[in-house]
Amino acid sequence: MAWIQLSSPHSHNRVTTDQVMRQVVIATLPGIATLTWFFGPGILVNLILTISSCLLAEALVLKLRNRPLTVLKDNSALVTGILIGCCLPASTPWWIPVLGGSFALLVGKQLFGGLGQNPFNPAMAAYAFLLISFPVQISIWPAPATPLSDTSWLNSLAGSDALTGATALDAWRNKGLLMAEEFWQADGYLSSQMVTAWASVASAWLVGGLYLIWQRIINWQLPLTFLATLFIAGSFVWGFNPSHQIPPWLHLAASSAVFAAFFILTDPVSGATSLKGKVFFAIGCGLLVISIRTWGSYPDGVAFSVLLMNFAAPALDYYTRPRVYGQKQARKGLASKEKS
Amino acid sequence: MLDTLRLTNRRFHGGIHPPENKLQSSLEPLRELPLPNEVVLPLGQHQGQLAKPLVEIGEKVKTGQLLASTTVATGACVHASITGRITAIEDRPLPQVSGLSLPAIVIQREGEEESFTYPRYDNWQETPNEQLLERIQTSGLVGLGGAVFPTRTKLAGALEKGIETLIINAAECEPYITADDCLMQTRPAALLEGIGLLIKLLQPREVLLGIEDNKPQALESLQKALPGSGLEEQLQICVLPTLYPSGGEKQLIQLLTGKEVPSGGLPLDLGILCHNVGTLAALADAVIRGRPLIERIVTITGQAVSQPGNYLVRLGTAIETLLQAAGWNQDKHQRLILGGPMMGFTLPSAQVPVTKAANCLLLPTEEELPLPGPEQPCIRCGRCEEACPAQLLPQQLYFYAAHQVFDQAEEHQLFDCIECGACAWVCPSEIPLVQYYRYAKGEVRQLRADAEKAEQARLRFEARQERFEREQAEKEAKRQARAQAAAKLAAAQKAKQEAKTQQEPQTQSEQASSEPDVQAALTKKLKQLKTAKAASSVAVKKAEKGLANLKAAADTTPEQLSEQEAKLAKAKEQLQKAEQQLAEAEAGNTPAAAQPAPEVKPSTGNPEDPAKKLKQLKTAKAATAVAVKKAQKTLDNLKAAADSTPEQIAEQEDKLAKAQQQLQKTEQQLAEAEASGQPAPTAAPGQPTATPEDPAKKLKQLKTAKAATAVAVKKAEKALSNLQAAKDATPEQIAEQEEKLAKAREQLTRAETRLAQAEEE
Ligand code: SF4
Ligand code: SF4
Repeated sequence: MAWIQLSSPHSHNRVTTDQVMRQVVIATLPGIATLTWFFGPGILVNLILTISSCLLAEALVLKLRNRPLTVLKDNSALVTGILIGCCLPASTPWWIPVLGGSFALLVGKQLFGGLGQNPFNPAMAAYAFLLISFPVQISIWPAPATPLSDTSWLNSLAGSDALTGATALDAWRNKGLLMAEEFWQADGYLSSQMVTAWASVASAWLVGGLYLIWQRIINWQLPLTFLATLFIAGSFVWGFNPSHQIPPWLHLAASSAVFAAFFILTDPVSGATSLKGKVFFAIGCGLLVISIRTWGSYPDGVAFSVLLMNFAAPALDYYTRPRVYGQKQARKGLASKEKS
Repeated sequence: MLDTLRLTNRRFHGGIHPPENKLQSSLEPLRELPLPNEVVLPLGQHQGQLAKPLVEIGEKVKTGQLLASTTVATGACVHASITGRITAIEDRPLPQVSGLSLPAIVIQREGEEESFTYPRYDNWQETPNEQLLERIQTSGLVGLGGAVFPTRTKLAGALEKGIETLIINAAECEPYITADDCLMQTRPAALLEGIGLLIKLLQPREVLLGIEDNKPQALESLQKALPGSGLEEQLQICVLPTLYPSGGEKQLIQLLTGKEVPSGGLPLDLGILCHNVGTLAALADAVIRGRPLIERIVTITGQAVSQPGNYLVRLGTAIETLLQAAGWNQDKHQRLILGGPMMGFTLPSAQVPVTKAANCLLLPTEEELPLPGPEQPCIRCGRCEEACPAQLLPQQLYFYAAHQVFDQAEEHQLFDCIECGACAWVCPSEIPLVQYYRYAKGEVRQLRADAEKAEQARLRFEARQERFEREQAEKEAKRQARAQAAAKLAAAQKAKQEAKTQQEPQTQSEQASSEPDVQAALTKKLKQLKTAKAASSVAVKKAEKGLANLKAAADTTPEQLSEQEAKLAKAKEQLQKAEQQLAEAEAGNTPAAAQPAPEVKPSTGNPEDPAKKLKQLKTAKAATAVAVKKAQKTLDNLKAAADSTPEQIAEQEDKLAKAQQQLQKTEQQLAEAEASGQPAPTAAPGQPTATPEDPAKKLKQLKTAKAATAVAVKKAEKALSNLQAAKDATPEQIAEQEEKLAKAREQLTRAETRLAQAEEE
């Protein structure tokens, strides 16, 4: 009689990686819906393009590496595609999402050995690449409208840039010497629709994020730390010069912050791995974002902050190890060299 | 009476809530399994040393009779679990993953059940502790919670150090298992007696019993039994929230006392002693009722058995018998797990006995506990970290284990992992994390052992080298002293002779008659030198062969190689020396034979006679010593290679056979010496008292030396067979072996001392 031989444990809770990824996909739906509502089906077109280019690129690499295509079922390429798609403006030319999706998968992920091996967040790597290479195409959003009744998005797809609008942070950057009050009152800079649109989108991401926390896909500490850092550091900078610095609420409402807090920073692969490390990771990202927004030359800095902190993640891991049961204190740093 | 405490505020890090699946077995009453027809009682059911059998095949034994005993701290006695006849004492597979076989006593049931009971200690309150410990030892008690550590040793350690807190582990956190639950429901009184006994023995300041809140019946039964047991004021029952692994010793200690067992330390370092409820009930049975450990409660559960429940089983019953009794549905089977789903292990066969360690047999169907899916890459989600009760970073450990960066794994406290499986249970990528940790631990242990062995081998080699040099120096000094003495003697005798020749011409003829004898002795000496040369050339060849073998063997370590090379060099050296001696002797022989100088001959001839015998002695000694050394060294090699292959063992046997051959040769030489020793007394009537006695004495010494070395060889041989028996020689066995070798060496030195004495005379 042949018995099956297996190592313990013989029991497993039924959550698998593809299920985790599926939950993430579900959590992005409110955000996607809101984006589409305000900026038109261009968002969906972008998503279709990024997702298909991600899946195709992954399939291609798997073929080249002689790996089974079933790996695609882990849904991670799908998630990467969605995350890039959500960052791109609705009116961007078709080749931008295709390029972004392929770059994320090929350079951001598979070049390093696939799922679990990539040191950088693939979506952010791709976004940063696009931002540096095509700053114009990637920064111009169509003016928000009450879509589905409006056909202006068709024009934007056709390449007309007549109906573009600046995002809040862009507008702020371009306000020049205007005082804050004047800025808000001035018409040409930032439409109130734009503000409403982005605030709604941010809330939609928040809903999705809370869903993830509820489903225990992500922990609450990381997003909270990030948003809190943004708010506190933002207030601090703003306190010095309220008339020229971004008000803290705008730091949070500018769509990228909430989205990043729940969907980008929480990428487990490229972040710090221990809980304590994650908290430091979030603080670091928050401070970098504020610095870039305040002193940098890019209006938004989430992508760069995340990538920079990805660099720091291994060091964070070494210095934030928990105190193991029975140890007087936590060990820090690298293994002492004389041991090896 | 102390109130039952509900501990909800103290926590250990992490923990998980796997489905409990306890009701299948806990709702059933305890069933007694019919007596089996045959039991197999392994002599090593516990960790540590094998017990030594006290019975023989064919002997009739009663239930409870002591079959095998041990006095070693890590050993435990074995008792007959049924009445019958011993049909075999042989290697039988143990219920282990490896399917390892160890010696076991097999009893065939015969006749009516007769119990062999030991005197009861009804007044155990007054019995001295030593006596109680002795009984605990002879009852074969071991920890029944899983560690299977001999109870006596654990208690003796606690007695010596003194304890503050006695913890009784009734948590039974592992899913499916309800053996302890069942015990508490059916025999709460025995458990309380056991606790009382421990209180009497150890005098702890506090006694805490930890039980998970998923066992209300057991708790109730305990609470009912408590009044009148005498423990009302001492025993603090603490109810813990159900969370795996709260029954892990370290986690339970943290929950109950808030303290943490220091890394690498024992609970005893905190003045804490933990015992499992099953062990305590067995303790009460053994001490108070005189019943040794011959049965235990085993949970049989899983959807592949139709009658899950708890069974009272005699130790040694085949697991297959047990499965059949529980309505094992053969075609639904897939896995046979000994223990629970979290930490249990699958058995390769059901034809193994129930041992003291067996608390649960789990036969899940595939729907019940699905087989793990394919391992996916780690996404570093950190769930494992959140679940780990040891607060490790399982994902980092996994990374280092998978990439074989063992020093980093150790730095991340790999050895603080208790292999609870919580991390693997939560891992969404279904990585068999615990398997990686076991592998890494094994590798690290191996590396450490190898390093230690290499160091020991180096020390041994140096010691040997040093001894060799010292001996050479001593010999040289003695030789010189002897030469001086001989010269003096020769001078004196010459003087005497000169005086004698003048007075009695008769002596002349005497000396002439002794001359052919001298020549005969010289040829004999030549022969012996030739033998020595042959022996050492054989040694050289052997060493060369050994080296070649080692080089051919793929898994030879560099240390082994260098050792073997050293051996070869030494053997070559010996050969050279032998050849040199031979050449010298041959050169010296001819002129000596040709020279008819009557005056000188007798004077040199007579002192040469004992010298000759001494050389014989030396040859004999050297040959056997070489043989012994070789056996010894190969054994070392065998030890060094933890996994000695059958070829290596065969080689070793071959070598031993050769060593024996050499021993025989020595014996032959000895016989020759004896034969030639006889005429000696007649040949030298010049020294009527000294000469006849001299060879006889030397012969005796030769015999002693031979006997001693023979014993050494035999011992080495025995040790080897021991090593062969145990495929993976345990540290204890190696220790034993080393002890034996040390003895052999001692004997060798004794033989050498005697030889030296002979040389001096
Ligand atoms: S739970 Fe599994 S996938 Fe997640 S970090 Fe741990 S090992 Fe990696
Ligand atoms: S098996 Fe080891 S690493 Fe995993 S949870 Fe248990 S103690 Fe932690």
